[in-house]
Amino acid sequence: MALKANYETVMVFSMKQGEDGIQALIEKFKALIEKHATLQSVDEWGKRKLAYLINKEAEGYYVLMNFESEAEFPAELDRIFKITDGVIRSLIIRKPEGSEIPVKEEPKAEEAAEAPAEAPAEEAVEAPAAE
Amino acid sequence: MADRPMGNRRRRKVCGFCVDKIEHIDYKDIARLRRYMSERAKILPRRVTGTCAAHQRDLTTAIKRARQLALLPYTSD
Repeated sequence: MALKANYETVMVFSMKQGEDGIQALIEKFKALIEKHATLQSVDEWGKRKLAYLINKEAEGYYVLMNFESEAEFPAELDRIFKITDGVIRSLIIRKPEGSEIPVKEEPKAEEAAEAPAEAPAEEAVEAPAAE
Repeated sequence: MADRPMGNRRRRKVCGFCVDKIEHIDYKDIARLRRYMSERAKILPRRVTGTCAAHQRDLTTAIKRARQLALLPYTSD
């Protein structure tokens, strides 16, 4: 079959859509991506201040999605971004090969480092109480 | 021998991305990208930051992507 690749997309929704409107848009794009591609993860950054005004608005609602699809789909997704009201900015990036491996391993290393550090701290608190 | 006057020994600048072994510069890492921008939000040249050529190219695209998404400004003040 056609060659698949990993993509990352960030969409910025207008705050004018309201809480419900934004959730509806997120669901719409989730469904769209799931229909044509494999949705890997959704990360809602939430409300953020924009670095500059867009249509006289100072804030936007950011959502990041990762997906794997064939090469035709990103173009279609971009077309839909452009014609959908409430999407003030969007970006679709093809991920560089092998960029995902370090992202997945990083949290594990941090957990391992934190765990032993916490254990002795608890003992120290308990010791004076026993006296 | 006398090419370099005494006391004018410049510190060698090293690329911050090579030091931290960052292969792909992430356009979402705004805190890091900011360090490579001037007060007026311009991208700083290599000669100022000491970034290597390959990373400077990646940095430029990363900053431009962040600007498109309004994560970073095009200009400021």
